[in-house]
Amino acid sequence: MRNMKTAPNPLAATRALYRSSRSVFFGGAIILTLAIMTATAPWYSPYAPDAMDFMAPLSGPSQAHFLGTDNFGRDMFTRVIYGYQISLAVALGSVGFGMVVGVSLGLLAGYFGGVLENLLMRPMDVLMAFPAIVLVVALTGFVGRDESVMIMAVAVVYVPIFARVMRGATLELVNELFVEGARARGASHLRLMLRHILPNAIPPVLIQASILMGIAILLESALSFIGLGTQPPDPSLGLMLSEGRSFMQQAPWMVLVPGLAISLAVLGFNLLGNGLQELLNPAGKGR
Amino acid sequence: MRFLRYMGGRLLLLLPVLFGTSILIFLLLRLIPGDPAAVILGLRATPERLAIVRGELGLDLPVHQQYSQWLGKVLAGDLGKDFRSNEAVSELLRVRLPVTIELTLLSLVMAIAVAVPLGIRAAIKPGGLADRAAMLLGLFGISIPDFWLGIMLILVFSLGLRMFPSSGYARLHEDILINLRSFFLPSLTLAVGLAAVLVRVTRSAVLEVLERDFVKFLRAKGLRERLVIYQHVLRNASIPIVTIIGLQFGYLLGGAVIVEEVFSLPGVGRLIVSATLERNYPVVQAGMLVVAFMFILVNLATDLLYGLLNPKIRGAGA
Repeated sequence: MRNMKTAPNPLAATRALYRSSRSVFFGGAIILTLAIMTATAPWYSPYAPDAMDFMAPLSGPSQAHFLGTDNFGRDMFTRVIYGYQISLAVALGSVGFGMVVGVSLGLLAGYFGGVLENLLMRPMDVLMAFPAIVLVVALTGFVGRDESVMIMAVAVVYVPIFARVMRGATLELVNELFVEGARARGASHLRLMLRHILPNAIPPVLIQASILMGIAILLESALSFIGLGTQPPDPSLGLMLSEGRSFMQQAPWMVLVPGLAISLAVLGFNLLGNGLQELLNPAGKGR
Repeated sequence: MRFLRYMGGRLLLLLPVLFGTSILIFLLLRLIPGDPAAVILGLRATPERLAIVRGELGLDLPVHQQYSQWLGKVLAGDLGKDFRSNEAVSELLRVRLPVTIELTLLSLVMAIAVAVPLGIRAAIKPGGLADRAAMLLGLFGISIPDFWLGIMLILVFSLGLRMFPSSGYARLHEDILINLRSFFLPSLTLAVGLAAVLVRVTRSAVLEVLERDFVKFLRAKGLRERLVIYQHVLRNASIPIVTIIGLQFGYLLGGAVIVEEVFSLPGVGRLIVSATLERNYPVVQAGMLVVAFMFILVNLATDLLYGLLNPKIRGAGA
């Protein structure tokens, strides 16, 4: 644990992180880079995401378009960057919402147990009986196809997952000595839950959140791919992939680029999640 | 006898779950906006015509009545009729279910065949070549979207090398060779994600068992290493492996939706997607119920396998 010394400057802190977990380092670096590129896109992207270059449709990587153009002559690089905006928005929104609701339910269920636990957790079991994509397809198919619907649909899938993780963590903590102690000093239920249990139960929830962010990106692109998510002409990575299918023999970059882009983002979140898990729970290394 | 009682208990537990599932599916479709009558009539819709069509479909009744009618019919084996084509939904499912089942089973077999041996080797020699391969599979397998993998496989093996067809298929009983050839790429696509999860679980489960005392004892006794691993360690490591296979089956069913779409296979997944777009209630309801039912059955099978693998659970179960 010699790496855990307090780091005097950011460079040393980064180096310490690299030494203690390469997964966290590389995963974090990928996500940070993508997030910054996405947030600052309007300032540096050479084209508008829907600007068409009629002189150069389906052109391969070149100086003007370094990831090539699609069938409308739109710049692939620009569209990937803007596509990430949608991916990350859906991932953040759905994980955030699913986490807030799921963690509250899991905390209540684990803390109080008994009838309340059954009342809260049994519907979660039913919800989990559906493959995520089927549930999300049904929800988006009926409600409509925009980002907020996708966020809610994915969040519905995530609530039971967070609830389970939180319930498990709460059950482990609720009989710990420091909780007993606080209870003996007369702390209220609310205080026990929010001040004593919640902060200590957060690590497994964060690991889950990181992995679910990656899955949300996969779900968003899968939905857009089958036509139930983002609608044209918006640049979603899944949609780009599905549009590219018709041209994949003349212009393979139209399917290569968005696919690699999705994989990179998901890889980042998975590396981060796995790395955090190894750091927090070295015994379960490799799980 | 005890095992039978355990099984009976598990089967009884199935009923409330299925009941809850059917209500959830039904409510989900009713609570969400969208009028099937409007979809059927399209531009010809007038308020009078809409009312007539709704009446024909039974959509003018209160929701609980619609549900009890539907449930009554389902229990009698009638899944209703396709709103649009008027075909019996059970017939639609009879044609399409085998496609999805074959796809998921083939990919399950592929994933197990690769991931379990690889995971075992990785655990036997941590840091070795197999371990590195396992790590790469575990990481990239869950990061690459299955639909993209499918497209790339089509691009390389169907369009490029012309080794496999990119879409279409023959039924199993018509021509088994053509059938298997057309199922190879889709099953491979679906298998990668499962193999990724499976290889990690196998590795850590075997690693954990290898550290137990009885393994040292068996080795000290001079038992051949092969026997130690394949007879003793694997048996003890099998429970988490079986659990994950059961849990991941849901993932396979979900993935099948996408993979069927990419490879144009006429399975249940594509049926649900297209029926959802048309607000074809009977088809979506029946399709989702069947998917949930299969998922629950697989979980049940998983539980029963536990009983066989670990006699201790039988007594405590149900």
